[in-house]
Amino acid sequence: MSKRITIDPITRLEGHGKIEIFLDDSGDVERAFFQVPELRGFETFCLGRPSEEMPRITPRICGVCPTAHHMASTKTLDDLWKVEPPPAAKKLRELVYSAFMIEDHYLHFFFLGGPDFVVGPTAPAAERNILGVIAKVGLEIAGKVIRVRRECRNIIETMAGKVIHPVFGLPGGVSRGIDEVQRQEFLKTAEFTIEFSKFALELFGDVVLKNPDYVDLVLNDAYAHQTNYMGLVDADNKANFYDGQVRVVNPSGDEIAKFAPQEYVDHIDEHVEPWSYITFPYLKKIGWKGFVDGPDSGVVRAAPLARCNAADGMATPLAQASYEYMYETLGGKPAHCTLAFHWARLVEAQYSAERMKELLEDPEITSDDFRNVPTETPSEGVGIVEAPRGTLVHHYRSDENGMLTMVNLIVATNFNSAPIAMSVEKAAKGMIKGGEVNDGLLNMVEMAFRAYDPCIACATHSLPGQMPLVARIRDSSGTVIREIRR
Amino acid sequence: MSCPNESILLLALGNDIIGDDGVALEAAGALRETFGDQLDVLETTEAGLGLIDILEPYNRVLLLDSIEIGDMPAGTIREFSREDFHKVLGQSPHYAGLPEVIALAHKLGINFPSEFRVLAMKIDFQEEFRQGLSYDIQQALPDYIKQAEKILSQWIRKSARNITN
Repeated sequence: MSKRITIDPITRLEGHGKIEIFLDDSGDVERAFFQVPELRGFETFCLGRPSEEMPRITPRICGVCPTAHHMASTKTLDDLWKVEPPPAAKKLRELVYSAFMIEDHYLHFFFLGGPDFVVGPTAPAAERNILGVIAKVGLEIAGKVIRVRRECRNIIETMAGKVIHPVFGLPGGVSRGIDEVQRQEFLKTAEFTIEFSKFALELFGDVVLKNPDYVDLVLNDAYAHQTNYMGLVDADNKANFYDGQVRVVNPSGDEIAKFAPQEYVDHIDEHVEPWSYITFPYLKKIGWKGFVDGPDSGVVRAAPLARCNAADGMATPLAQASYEYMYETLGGKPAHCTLAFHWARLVEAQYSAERMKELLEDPEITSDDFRNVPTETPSEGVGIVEAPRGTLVHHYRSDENGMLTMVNLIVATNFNSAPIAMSVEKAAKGMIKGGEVNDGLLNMVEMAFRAYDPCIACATHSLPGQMPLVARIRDSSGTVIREIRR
Repeated sequence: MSCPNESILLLALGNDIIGDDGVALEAAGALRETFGDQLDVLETTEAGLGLIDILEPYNRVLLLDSIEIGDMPAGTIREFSREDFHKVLGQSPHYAGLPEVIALAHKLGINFPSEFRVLAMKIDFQEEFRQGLSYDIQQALPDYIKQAEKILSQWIRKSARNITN
């Protein structure tokens, strides 16, 4: 008798994604699906609106990463209106974006993904949360996490107004600059975040790398996929989150594509499945070969470790050293371990902290020349940034007045949707054996998608904010024979 | 507000481009007209830990939001207190919710409003991005506003008495 297990997050922010696991007669996993019946129609909603509104509308897609949408949209408007921002404007944008990456990455590591390692993957669900993390690491550290987050948000708010509704990026520049007093204030934040980044990586070393069980888990084949990897890189092929070209490497780490944002349609296509609303982007020149990994696969991952794999290194000294140590420990580059995304997240946060300091030490950052007014007729634009959870593509077309006639967005979780589906199935097959299903095992399946920091809802909040997971085990007639809730 | 310890915030959460998810924002707009400068009104799509920063300076907070969970018909209004959020239920893949926010503020000694109430309206799952409220939610909106008015009026009277004393 086959069984069916459903992990169904029912609050809105988590979206309505769910995991369905089908067991065979012997209680082993036959198939597992990651399904996302997400909100629809955003692109259509935008049609006919003035293109200049997009940096204000697109952050409302998601209350978790508004700055990423704002920045991708702003860059798209540069391209659409054919205007190059002054150097100071680019630096100010990257400053704001670096602050955003830091706060978002640490939020995920300490509060969302961290409990899996800091508290333990099979710890009782009631302890596997931020309070459990605080109990392990202490109040002082939790207070530092809050401080990092607040100071980074202060930079964003000073420059862009409310974090959730940024008003900053304009076609050809930004709405305001900074003065010397603000530069000095922000510099203190940058220095604090660099110190914190060292501490966070040390903590990861103490809690995860010194625990052989955790290292085994990170390196466990149940959490590994040999896929292609993608990320923005600068002229030296170093990772960059704000600008550059998209570089793609194959599972062996060899470069197989490098393209400007405007060329993405030549390289990326989207596959659809009848059982999910989310699309499954793949490498067009390889083609869709299904939910498979290996050298012939068209699946490409876009996430912190994917970016590190796609780049030749990090452009700042501390992050480069951390990057090298990470790959040394993981057994070389590229690394295919999904759970190592958490580690890469900390390396990226360190880079962002150092980059923030570099930008603030550049005398040009206080320049008043932060906007070029567009003079050309708008037509078509593409903007790409690296959102915390992966590559984010905005693509607009407009009429000669700048009114939108076509909008296409590919968000990071789109890129990762096929890998997430594969990771969930592989983890389920690796963890659930002989029909034994318990809360700890199900959490170890969830860990496979939590590592991607998925953003599947495109809603903005949820009340009461809890995440009631329901795991249902059904027999072949559909009758629920067991239910696990938390 | 003249006295920080008596400060009141009406906090409306929602998204005005996801149909009925914007019901709290609509209500807040009407309540701003009623109460003027007697309290602070904030409409936001902010979520998770960002709420700590918003709530910290206030003594009394009424939070308006929508909910999709439960078997109630759309338009049903439910009231919650701080105690209803005491239990942190689990780990989120992507987000920290109100229970985590309350617990974290308590643990770290961050000020949290001494009076904290939530008025939530049940809405159906919103499938598409769109502006405007559905018929059922429009019909329920006046009652929603009335219930919020009652709570806020009580708090304003209480604050006035405390300041006088």
